[in-house]
Amino acid sequence: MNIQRKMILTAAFSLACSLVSVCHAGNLVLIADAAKIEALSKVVARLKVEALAAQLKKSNVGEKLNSEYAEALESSLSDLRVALPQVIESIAKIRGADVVIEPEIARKFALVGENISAEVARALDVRSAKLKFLAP
Amino acid sequence: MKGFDTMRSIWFMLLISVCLPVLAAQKSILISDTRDAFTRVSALKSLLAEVDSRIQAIQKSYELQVAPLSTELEQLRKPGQTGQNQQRKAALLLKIAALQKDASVQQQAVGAANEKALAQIDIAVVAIEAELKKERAADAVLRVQDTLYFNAACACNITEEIYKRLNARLPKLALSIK
Repeated sequence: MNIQRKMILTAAFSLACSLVSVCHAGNLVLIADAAKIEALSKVVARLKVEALAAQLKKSNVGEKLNSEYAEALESSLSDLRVALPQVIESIAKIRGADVVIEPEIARKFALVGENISAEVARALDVRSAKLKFLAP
Repeated sequence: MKGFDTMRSIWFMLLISVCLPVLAAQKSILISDTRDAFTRVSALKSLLAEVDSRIQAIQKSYELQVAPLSTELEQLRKPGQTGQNQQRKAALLLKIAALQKDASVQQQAVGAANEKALAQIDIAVVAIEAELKKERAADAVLRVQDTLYFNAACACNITEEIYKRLNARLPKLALSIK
């Protein structure tokens, strides 16, 4: 066997080893940022606008939500918040992830992973499309 | 020319084999979910039972001591007795208050001993997590409360191993009340 062939075999072997190590080592970590998900959600944005509009209609004050309307908005968003863990779970299962964590935890444990916040926000919007602001 | 191409392929394969694990570096994690520890950890079960029985004993002893005093107090409060036994009434009330305080102090002591025992279990869990992290060459041990989701069927789930080792090392835990 000439040297070149030996080198090819060695290189192929090390490539195979590295592929195996990539497949076996580590766990698939995904990152989801709850605050970012809400900021990206179109349903949340729409409900906020609806809340402001409702407040404006009633009291002529529409720049910032007062406590009564802020509470009503929170209550209207409760269904969406309940759905959030389910959406995260379904995306994680589809992706075959072992764990989904908040960015803060990822930083704490020096873990890296794909941020799925935008995907979660989109899925959440589809699921909560019919959600309406419930005026106080 | 052919030799040059082959050498280039070899170098490329070697480069890829070195870079691939670095680029696709997925850290190895372990996850522990001890939310059902109160039903799975024998030390916790025995501890809970002891706390429960001690609190009940304190309550029962208090009730037994207070019952005759309360009856006597009721008698003294009946019409016709007014003004005659004021001193006795005051003494009874003081005694009941002292018994109440004593029972409360005893319950607090049980609570403190319980906290101490729970801390012992927590220390043992942390030690087992550290052991498993070392044994499995993991980068981090996450607790379920650190996660938004975790795959319970994942090999990274060390919950059962934690319970197994904890029950072997700390099968029972008694309260140490000062």
